[in-house]
Order: sequence, then structure tokens, then C-alpha cells
Amino acid sequence: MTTELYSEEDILKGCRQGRRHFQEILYRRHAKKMYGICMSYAGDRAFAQDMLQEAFVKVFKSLDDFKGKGSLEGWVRKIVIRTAIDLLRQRAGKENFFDDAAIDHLSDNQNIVYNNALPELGLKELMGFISRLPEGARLVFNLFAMEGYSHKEIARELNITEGTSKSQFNRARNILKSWLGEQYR
Amino acid sequence: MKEKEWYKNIVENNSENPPDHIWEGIQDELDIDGVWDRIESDFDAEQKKKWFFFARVAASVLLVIAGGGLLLFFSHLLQIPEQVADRTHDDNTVTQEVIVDADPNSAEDMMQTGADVTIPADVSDHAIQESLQDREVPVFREEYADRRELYPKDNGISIETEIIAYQNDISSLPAHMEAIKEAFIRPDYEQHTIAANRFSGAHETHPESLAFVPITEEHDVETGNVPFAWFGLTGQLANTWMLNDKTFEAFRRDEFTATEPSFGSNLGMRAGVNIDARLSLQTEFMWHSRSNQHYREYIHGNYVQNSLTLDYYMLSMLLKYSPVKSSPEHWLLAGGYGGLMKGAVQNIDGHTREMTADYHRTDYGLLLGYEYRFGLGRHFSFNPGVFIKTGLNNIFSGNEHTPYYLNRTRNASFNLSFSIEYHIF
Repeated sequence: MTTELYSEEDILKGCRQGRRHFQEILYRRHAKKMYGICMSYAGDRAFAQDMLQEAFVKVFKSLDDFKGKGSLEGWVRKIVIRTAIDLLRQRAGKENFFDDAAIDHLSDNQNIVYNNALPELGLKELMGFISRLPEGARLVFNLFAMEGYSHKEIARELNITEGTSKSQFNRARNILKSWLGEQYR
Repeated sequence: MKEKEWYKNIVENNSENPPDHIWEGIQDELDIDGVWDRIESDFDAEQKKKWFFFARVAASVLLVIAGGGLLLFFSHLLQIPEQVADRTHDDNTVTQEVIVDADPNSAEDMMQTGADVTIPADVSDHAIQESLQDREVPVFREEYADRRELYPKDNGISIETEIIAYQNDISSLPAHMEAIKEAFIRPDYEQHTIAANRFSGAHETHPESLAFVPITEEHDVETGNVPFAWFGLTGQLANTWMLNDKTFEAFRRDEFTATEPSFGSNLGMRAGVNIDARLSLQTEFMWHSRSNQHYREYIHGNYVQNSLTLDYYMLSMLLKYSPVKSSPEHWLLAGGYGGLMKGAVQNIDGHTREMTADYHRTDYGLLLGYEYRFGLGRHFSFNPGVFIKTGLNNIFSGNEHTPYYLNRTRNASFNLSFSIEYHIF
């Protein structure tokens, strides 16, 4: 049972009426989490902030489309992911968005596999590694690891083959492990 | 895969807030569509909200004033016709007159003080003056006119005296009453004593002629007719409000949430000192002071009761003023309070959550009220009253989901109070 200042129904009603007070409450309630998600996709803060702003504008403009099936947070998150994908594709703007070679050259020590217990990192430290991944690999990695998309779904979403999706994910995971191994062994 | 969980956990537990310019940018983009309409409707809603609040405050103030006015009016109606009325001369000598028909030629009428008094018919001016000089007489206290109670020096005689003078025409007194006439009009007439045996049969319990002394408030204090100080217990029943956007918006009919009446109780003690007969300073300490706000909310498809309860220690300082000189029972009070929060709890359909961290520990504000003092003997009084309390600061400190400025909240209440006081003379 929620103990927030306003119930979700009150907030939705107020937002649909265009009342700024409720729009800000909705934004403040979800902004921190969505900002972290945007940073994991964007790789840098400035791009993450643009992503977050554009996503929430879409949220407020399309609130009438939310029919109450599922949670409001889940619905907002989907809009954020969709916005992240669109912006990354716009920014990449190149055919080799999912180029394996772009990952392979990142580390000379990919044979160092980090097998220790996963370190406790903050997002800031993790961003240091994530931001070094190519955008295509970062996108696939996040969709698989964070959102739980299958490779088939990722392929359909990004208009790539399932094999490309698997390849991009595995390369991204291995390079992350090698970086962690170098940093925390 | 545990790496997935590890990664997801780091990203979703982000502790960094996005910068403020993002929200400003979102507002700018939203404002592009229908900006003027929104400004107009927000302005109207804000004005209505403020008007509604001030209308309720004004109605409560009118209620307090009307209540006080009714009490004043009915207290005059309840006065006994023979009650001695006051007339204060410029020289501060108080003359007393009975609103009855009196025969100016009848010494008995003029000196009527009690059924068992026999006034010598041949009393001379000198005799009267001598009597006045020898006998310690009580002085009528205007503040106790309704009780006709006098405060004699300790001459061992318990007496009650009514002063009789020919209404409006002291100069028409019979000649042998000249001395008494002197007593009425001489402003510097000192308090005198009269030999107890001047009047036959009048030793123990007879009302006597009076000597008049200048009646001033300082004199009253000196002779012990105004309490020096008091202390007592006080209890209040309060209609409490937590004034914020949510409370105001919930009055709208088209909202899911509805504001419901909320009540709390306060318990404490009070003490005060008199500055003079009509002005006092009072302090109150409430060890239990509660502020409540109830809502009926629509949450996840169900209507639930949502209650916020804040408990405080409260200390207040008040100036008390009796506006009507002839009716010292009526008191107006004004002052301020400070509160220290003991705890804050939210209850939604029986599920409670500690909310102390969401609210500031201190509160302060203003108090305005009215009290009526029912005397219970010389030392005790019962004081019912009405108060308005309004906080001046925002008590909501914010939480991780709601910054303080999105839920600015002030305490307010309308209180019925009941106090019992012990007066120290």
C-alpha cells in the first residue's frame, strides 16, 4: 500500500488535466531511476540528460495512451528505452553501428577474464566502463542485461540479425570483464 | 546470470538526481502548447484556493466575535435590577446608586443598608462625620458589583453593604445627610472607620454607610481584589488542518481525493500574572498537542482512509486583555506559539508508517482567542474559550520522492478550550 503524498490515480488525473504541480510530482517520482537508465544507454551525462528530457516530454504528451495495464513506472520506462534507442540511432547514423571490430580493438587483454566476486561499484564508476563501449554494443548489452529482452526481440527492435545481437552482447560482456579484471584484480 | 543482476542493481539504484535544468526544459516544451490557457487556468485556481481559505478564516473570526458579542449582551441582560451601578467621576471617586425609587426625605431610605438597621432619626452631621471617622467601613468594589461583595479590613465583621444615594441628585439630600453628601463628592476622602455602636442593633452583620475612596485599578491591586497570578490546567478540542495544495485541491468535487474533517485534542497547563486589572500575561505549555489531517483517497482502484498525525510539545505566550471595564469576565487573547514535534505518523486503512523524517521538528505561529471567566469562589475560576491557531512556517521537509516546495504545509486549527485556574492574591 503506497504511502506517497498522492496516489497514482490522483497524479495521472492531474497530469492529464495539464496541472504542473502533478506533472512535477510524476517527474520527481521517477526521474532519478530513469536518469540512471539513460546514463547506462548514453554513456555520458550530457547525452543522458537530453535523453531524459525528451523521454519525459513524450511521457506527458502521451499520458492518455496509458490505460492502466501494468505499472506507471513500467510504462514510463518503456518510453525512456524507446527514446534512448531512437536518439542513439540518430546520433550513430552509420551503417556499422553494430561493428564487431569496433569492440575488438578496445582491449589487448581480452584473455584476462575477471572471475572474482563482482565489485560493488556505483553508477559513476560503472559509467567509466560503459562509456567506453561502442554505442551499438552498449545498446544491445543494456537491452539484454537490463531490460531482459531476448536476442530475438533485440533483433526485431533494432532491425539486426539475432546473430549480430548475440555477438555484440558477448563481446561487450567480455570486454567489460577484462576491464574489471584489470581494475580490480 | 548474476552479472545481469549485478549490472541492473547498479543502474537502477542510481543515487544521482538529474540537474534542475532538465525539468525546466520539460516545462518549456510543454508550455509551447497552450501556454496562455494554462497560465490563466492556474491563476484562477490559485485565486480561488486563496479566497476559499481566507473566507473560512474570516468566517471563523466572525464566529468568535459573534460569540463574544452574544456573551456580552446576555451578561448585561442577566444583571439584577437592584444591582449597584457605577458612575465614575472625573476625580475617580466612585459613587454608587441604586436604581430604585428612593424617598429623598427618608433617612432610612438614604441610609438603607439592611433589614435590621435602625438609623437614629436625630443623627447630626457631626455625629455622622464622627461615625465615619471611627469605623472602618468596606469600600464597594465596582468589579464585584454583581456579587455586592465588599472587602473590609479585618475588623471581624462580615458585612454586605449597598450604597444608596438619591439617583442623580445628591444635592437634594436632607440637611443631616450633609456629611454623607460630603463623602460622596469629596475626592480625597480617606477610608474611615465608624464606631460599631453608632447604630443600634447594628453590630455584627449590618451594612454600614460607606466611605469613599478613590477607586483606581492600582488601588484594587493593592487591596487584593485582583489576583496577582494564577495557574491551572487546560484542555482543548481542536478542528485541525494541515494546509497544503493537497488539502485545498481535495475540496474540488472532481478530485479523487476528498479532505475530511479532522480533530485533535490538546492538554496542558497554564500560568499567568496580572499586569493590571485588565491586562495580563499568560503562558501555556501543552505536553500533548495534536495536528491531524484526514483524506479519503482513491488508491489502486479502492477508496481508503489516509490520515496524517503530528504530535507536538507546544509552548505559547499570550497577552490577555479585558475590553469591557464593567465586565471583567471577558478576555481577548493574542500571542504566539512554538512547537517541538514528538512524532509524525501516516495511517492508510490501518497500515501505519513513520513519517517523522518528512517533517521539520519545529513549528511556530500565532494565536488569537477569546475566554470567559466563570468565578468559582475567590480562588478558582473556570474559563471556556475559543482560539484560532495558525502556523507561519512550512513544516514539510521533503523526502526522496517529493521535494519540500511541492508540498508546503502549515498547521492551523480552531480550538475550543476549557481551563480551571487557581488565583493567587
